[in-house]
Amino acid sequence: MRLKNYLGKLIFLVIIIAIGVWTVKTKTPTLGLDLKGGVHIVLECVDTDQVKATPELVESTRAVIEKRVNALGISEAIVQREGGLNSKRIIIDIPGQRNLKLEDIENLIGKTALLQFKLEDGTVILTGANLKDVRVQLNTDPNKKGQAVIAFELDSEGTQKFAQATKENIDKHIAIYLDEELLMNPVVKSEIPDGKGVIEGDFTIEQASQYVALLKGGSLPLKVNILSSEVIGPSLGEDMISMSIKAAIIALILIVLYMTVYYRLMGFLASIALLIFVLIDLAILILLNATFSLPAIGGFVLTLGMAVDANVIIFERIKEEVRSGKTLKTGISLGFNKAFRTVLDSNITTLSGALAIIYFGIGLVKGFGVTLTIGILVSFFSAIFTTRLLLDIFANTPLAKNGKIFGY
Amino acid sequence: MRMFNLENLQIIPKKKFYFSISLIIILISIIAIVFNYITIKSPLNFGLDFTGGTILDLKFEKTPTVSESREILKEFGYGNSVIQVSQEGRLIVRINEKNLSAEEREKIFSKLEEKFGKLDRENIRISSIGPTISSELKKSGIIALIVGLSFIFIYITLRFQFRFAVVTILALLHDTIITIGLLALIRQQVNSPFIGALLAIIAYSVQDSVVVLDRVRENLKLYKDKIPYDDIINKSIVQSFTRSINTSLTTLLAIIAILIFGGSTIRDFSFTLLFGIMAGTYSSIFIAAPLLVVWNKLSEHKVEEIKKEVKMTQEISKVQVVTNSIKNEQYKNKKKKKGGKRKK
Repeated sequence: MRLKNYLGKLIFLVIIIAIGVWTVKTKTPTLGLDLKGGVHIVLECVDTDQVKATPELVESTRAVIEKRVNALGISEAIVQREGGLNSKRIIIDIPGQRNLKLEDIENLIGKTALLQFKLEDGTVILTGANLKDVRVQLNTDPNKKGQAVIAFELDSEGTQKFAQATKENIDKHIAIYLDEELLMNPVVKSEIPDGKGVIEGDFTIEQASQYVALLKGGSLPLKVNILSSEVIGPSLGEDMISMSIKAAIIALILIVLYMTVYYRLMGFLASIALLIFVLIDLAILILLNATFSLPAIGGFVLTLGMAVDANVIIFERIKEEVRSGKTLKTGISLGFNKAFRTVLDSNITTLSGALAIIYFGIGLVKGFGVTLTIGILVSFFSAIFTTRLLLDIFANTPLAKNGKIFGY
Repeated sequence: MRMFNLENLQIIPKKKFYFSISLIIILISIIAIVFNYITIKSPLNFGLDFTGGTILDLKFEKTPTVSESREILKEFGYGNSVIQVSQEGRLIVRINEKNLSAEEREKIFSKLEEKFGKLDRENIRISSIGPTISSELKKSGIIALIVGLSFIFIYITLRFQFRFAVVTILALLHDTIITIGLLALIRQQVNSPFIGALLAIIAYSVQDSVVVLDRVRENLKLYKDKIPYDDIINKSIVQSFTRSINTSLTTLLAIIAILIFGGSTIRDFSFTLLFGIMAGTYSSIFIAAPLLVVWNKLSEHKVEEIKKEVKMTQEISKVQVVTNSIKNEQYKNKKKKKGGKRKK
């Protein structure tokens, strides 16, 4: 028995398995929109006659949209710029939530939210930029019960300007516009020195909350167009998850059965290697924070099929060697050596295809490319290291004497 | 386990038969694509991802009917949308080349709710894609295909031989055309996962071809000048036959599992994969390596012909005066030889 020779490798494998189990058990995978439901919106900033969409302005537009989305009370929303530095695209991803309405978000995005305080002659004295705080309040006026108002507080510069303007315009109107729409046109009764006030405008609470969200975020520096939008209800996603897990398990069972029936003990060992492959592959994908979307799961199941391929190539080689009169041990060693180049070449060519998918693919297709790439790399390790180790160990046991068990 | 003796498998001698099967299928594919181009102005039944537009996938309390839904959509001017009711009783409306505004959508929803009961908002899918995104998708798909194929071409040329790279790419084009042709024939709707599927087919079937070609490379080293080229190729195919079948079978098992149990969204994707990988298996056995034999014949022919011509011109210059009759005879001889070779 020369099992001692393999002890180091075996310990290495056990450590990897332990790390894999720990990762899969403790970390939760990132699910794609199609699986957990949610909203995905792609925006594009456009040039207008007044402003050009420079990278800086696109970035501040993104920041404003992020503030607005957060002000709606949505947790875990991601607002990010797509692609390179010169990209004018902004992507909004909001994970699946009950009661989430696409139109709320669309309304929120489209508005520029330019707040203006104007004098009777049309001079703008204040804008949204001078706001320090805005809140929704219920109207204290008993006649307008149930209506909401927007309470605001100005920053020091705004307070000063507002005090000055109210002082100079007593008994005159100061109009408040939001997005060029007149909200209210009150008459100034006295100077307002503390920079605090309320805006009334027949709002419902929902409307007022939306305006507050808009005002808190500030106005959008650029005009944006919605390029694409997608909403997937959360329970639809749940069905998809259970279906894909079922598909993956059935695929695994079918492959294990086929391999064991065709290659007997060798196939059974390859099946164990396949299970270890699944574990390591999953762990790496989770650690890399890869998104599990439907195409990604498709890529995963496909790599299940491909992971066994390397084993098939090696086993056929071993069978050939043994058939030509070599002992099992030499057969294994020769088979692996001869098949190594084939496996390497076939994996690298597949890999180049997968990398092309990642580099040029968009969105979901990209996710597929990532799982395929990781899958190919891990399957290579699985065939060259895990399967070989298991075979070597079994070739040293009495079981190896019984040729039929190895299926040749 | 063995049902028949693989050693006696004769693939190269019957290569014309295998080529013609492929050619017929490719021809059908091209006809289907052209037919679609004429009738529906598009080679494939491109889905929302490629055309742009809005898709509403809704679940109501009652199961909607197509005709009643169409009546409602007609009021909004979308009477000619594609309307389906799925097996699960979901209403699927596809409005082409138009992005529905949020208000319009809500109006349609409330009208539909009047008819079919409450809309389950937790269980809906709304997707709308503008023309910029959809044209980008087409472009990036085509670029990904070309770059992927070029990578493969360069790698095989470096690791193997130029002619190996050429036959592999031809085999891959064979798989791609057949897969696209099938989708064109049955007018399966294709969306962005289709590009992923095509790339996966290419990535996978190249692996199959490489395994066979690797055997060819090895056998060429072992048997060159001992056995005729044709036999070396046939031997290589036979030796890797079980591998080719088994590797494809395990992958097909995985795909069939997704196809049956993976849910409707991923079904189109796995359907494309299923056919592509079957075509890929066929081409790695019956197309790629046999094409090497054809290539070899053609290049041998050329070498012989050049030799002959050089000889002829030398003779002509020696004799100077050659009567027409002799000239004709030489010409006929050459023709005969050529014809005889071809028949063989």
